[in-house]
Amino acid sequence: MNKISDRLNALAGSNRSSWFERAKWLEENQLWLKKSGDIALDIMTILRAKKISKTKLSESLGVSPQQMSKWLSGNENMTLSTICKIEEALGYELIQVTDPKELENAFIEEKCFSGSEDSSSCEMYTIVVGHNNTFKSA
Amino acid sequence: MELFSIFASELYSIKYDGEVENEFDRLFKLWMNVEFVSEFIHRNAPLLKDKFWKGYSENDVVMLVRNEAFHFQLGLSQLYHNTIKGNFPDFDNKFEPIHLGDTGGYYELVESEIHGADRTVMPYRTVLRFYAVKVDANTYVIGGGGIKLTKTYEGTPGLSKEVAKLGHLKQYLIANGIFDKENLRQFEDEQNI
Repeated sequence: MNKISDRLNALAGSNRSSWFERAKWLEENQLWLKKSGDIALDIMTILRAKKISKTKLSESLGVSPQQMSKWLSGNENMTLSTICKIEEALGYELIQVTDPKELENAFIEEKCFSGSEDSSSCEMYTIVVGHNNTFKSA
Repeated sequence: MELFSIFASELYSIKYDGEVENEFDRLFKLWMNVEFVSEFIHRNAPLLKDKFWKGYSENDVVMLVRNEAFHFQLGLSQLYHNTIKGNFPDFDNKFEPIHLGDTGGYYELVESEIHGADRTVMPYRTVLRFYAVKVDANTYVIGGGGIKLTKTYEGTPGLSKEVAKLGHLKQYLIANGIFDKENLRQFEDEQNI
């Protein structure tokens, strides 16, 4: 056994890092991990600004410090229920969802500008939202 | 202490006594942990007053660390895929010697080198460092690392200790017969550069 790599492999034996599986998992879950990280950093920022300890927050939520640390790691797939409870405890909104009516109007506006919506819907839209826009079909 | 294989026959990492994981895994998990990184950056916020960090808030740096850790792992993952296909990584081109003080013979690995980015062309901020002992051509053992916020590692609290850990790693490798007389002499020569 002369080669250094042979000696290293013999010394490592069956000790192999599982990093490759973890990297694959990160790649597959990167979209929600980004949001989870941002939420965790928002919570850390609020705690620091408001001088609230992590212990106090975990106590007010009735969870263990270990569970709180999991959430603050930014690597947990938090449920909406959990996020809402934390928002309530902190008094800050952590995630925002588009108002369904605003979203609906945005799609109508998009169709009216493109001319694919009939003129009556666009006129009604103009009256309802109070826009002075002149749509192609109006 | 226990040795772990990262890339078979090229990259290894040490698990120190008292630690749960080897340094490679331990550091990547820390760098991806928002709570840890946020507290580290907040603790060392005065270092961000340097002109190098102009325009960066504490949270900017936290997000930079997490993003870099993410891409670091994906970059290594790509190298690992290439290895499976028979294209072995040129780690000698990716690890750089730590030149300062009496730390010759020790090396560092940064994310930009994994992706082959030319840091002389673009303003490339890389803050994550793996510290390693070179044991042979293209063969390294990772023994520490951390988040480097300053030009030299001595300026960032905790990093000198991480580099010093390489001394313990070297002793472990000698005690376990990884270095023979020839490459130990070569190693000592490099330390005296």
